[in-house]
Amino acid sequence: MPETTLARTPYRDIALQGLTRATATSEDLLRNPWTSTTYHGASPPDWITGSTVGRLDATQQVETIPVFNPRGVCTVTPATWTAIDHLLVAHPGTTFQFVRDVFDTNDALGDPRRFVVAEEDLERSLGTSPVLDVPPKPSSARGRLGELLEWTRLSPAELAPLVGARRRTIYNWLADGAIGRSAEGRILQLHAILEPLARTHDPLLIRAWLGRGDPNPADLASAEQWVLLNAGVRQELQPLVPVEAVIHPSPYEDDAQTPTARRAALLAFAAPPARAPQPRAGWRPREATGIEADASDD
Amino acid sequence: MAFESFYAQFSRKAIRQGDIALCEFHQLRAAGGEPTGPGLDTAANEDLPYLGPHRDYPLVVTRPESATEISRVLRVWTGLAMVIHQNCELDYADPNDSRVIVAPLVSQAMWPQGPWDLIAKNGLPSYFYLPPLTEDEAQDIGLEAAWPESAVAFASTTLLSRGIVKRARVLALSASGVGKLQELLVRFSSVRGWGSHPELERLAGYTIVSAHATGETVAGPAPLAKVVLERDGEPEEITVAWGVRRTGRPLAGPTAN
Repeated sequence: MPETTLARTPYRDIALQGLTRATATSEDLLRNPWTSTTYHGASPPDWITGSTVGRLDATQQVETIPVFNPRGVCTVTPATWTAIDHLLVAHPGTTFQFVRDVFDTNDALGDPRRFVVAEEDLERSLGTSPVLDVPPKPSSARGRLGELLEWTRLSPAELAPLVGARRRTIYNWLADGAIGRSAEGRILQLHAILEPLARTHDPLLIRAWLGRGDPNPADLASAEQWVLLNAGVRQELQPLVPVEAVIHPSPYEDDAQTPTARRAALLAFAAPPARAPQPRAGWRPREATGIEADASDD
Repeated sequence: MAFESFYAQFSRKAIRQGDIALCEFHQLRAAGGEPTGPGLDTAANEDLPYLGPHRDYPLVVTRPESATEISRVLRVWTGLAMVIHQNCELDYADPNDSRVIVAPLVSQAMWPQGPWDLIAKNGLPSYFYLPPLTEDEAQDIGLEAAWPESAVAFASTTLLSRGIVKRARVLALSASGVGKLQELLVRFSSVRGWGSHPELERLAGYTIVSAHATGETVAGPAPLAKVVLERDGEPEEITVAWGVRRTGRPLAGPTAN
């Protein structure tokens, strides 16, 4: 089977962007190798290294597949993908840097388990994040409290401070206990702020995000710093793109990758300037050096 | 100085202190009223290194609190710079921290009027001397051309992003080279010069306010102490090396800082 070279897919054409809870099949991958960030497999993908991506073949044997070269061009053999029954990890236009984190979502009752893989050298772009389908909003504060637990994968005890309550109170509310107006207001506020995040992010990622930074978003919610929390959500909603994709293209930077250009730069470093004024007669450094006097002593 | 013990190939895995990159470095400047340098080759002299050609990019900066617009100029050079960011800070920085401190390199060829006799002896606190390599020596460690006699200009330190530096590295210092770099970085941040006896005598009449050991030593070894002085409300600070030379002459006079 001949190799097929796929040019980097423009960012705007990517339907599912960043670390989302999207999943894809090998057919999706064939159509667009950058459309998913999640992995279904029987074991954690700890065999992902460098710029190769592993896969499980039909016999559950791990194979590694070199994918993207540093220019973001993906070279694949179509037959390579057909045996994949579970997709590994992909980002739009990514060059698969070193894997930074592997999250086990723990949300499957058996195999396949689901993992989310975060890579290095990704950053938020200025674009907008895709929106996934979300179920209709529950109308009650209790329903929204349940959604908050689902969206964040926090335990009731962990969620409690975010809505200004105690663990037992959360259980009471979930068991049809009355929710006071003040508490209801906080639940609705937190729900409204986190909802855009829940549309695009895996619960495990939201949980990780809540604990990231100082102060972290969970602290902000506990302190009812809604404006700052909302700003944090907006930032988190910016899609992840490879760092290289947002660095302004620079001919020099490209040139610097080639031995010829490096040699030219080194030769320039060893070349005299166009104009070099003559040294000033009698110049001495303003700081005393002591060097000349020392030389004869040692 | 044997180059084998001074230079090394850079680590493919991570940025390290002492890595040398071929990239851009910059200075943010006011839009007017600034001295012309550093930059122009005609402005270079014994005190002002020539860092190579540059280009100025006008900027309009909006201050967030008042929406006031301010004109600035970003002066950008393209050349060689050394990572002087401490390895510990590189390793333990927040994953979202993209900053890395670099200092540009100057070569004897580019800056012939520089005080290279002193720089070659690491005799000026603001420079770290880098020995030359022949073409063969350079090729042995992956360089495409001979490496000229050069130096790191500590006083031109600036900040770049890791993304720029990591991909642009061409060379690194060996472990012993990094040790020397660290020694001279400490010196750069604490020493202005080595005083002479006449300068010491100039301090007659000052009152000693305090003196404390720095924990550092100079060759000898001789411990260094900071001495804070004061006269007519004007503070002065010197670093004194407490040692005796083989010749029996005092090791060093004061260093003003």
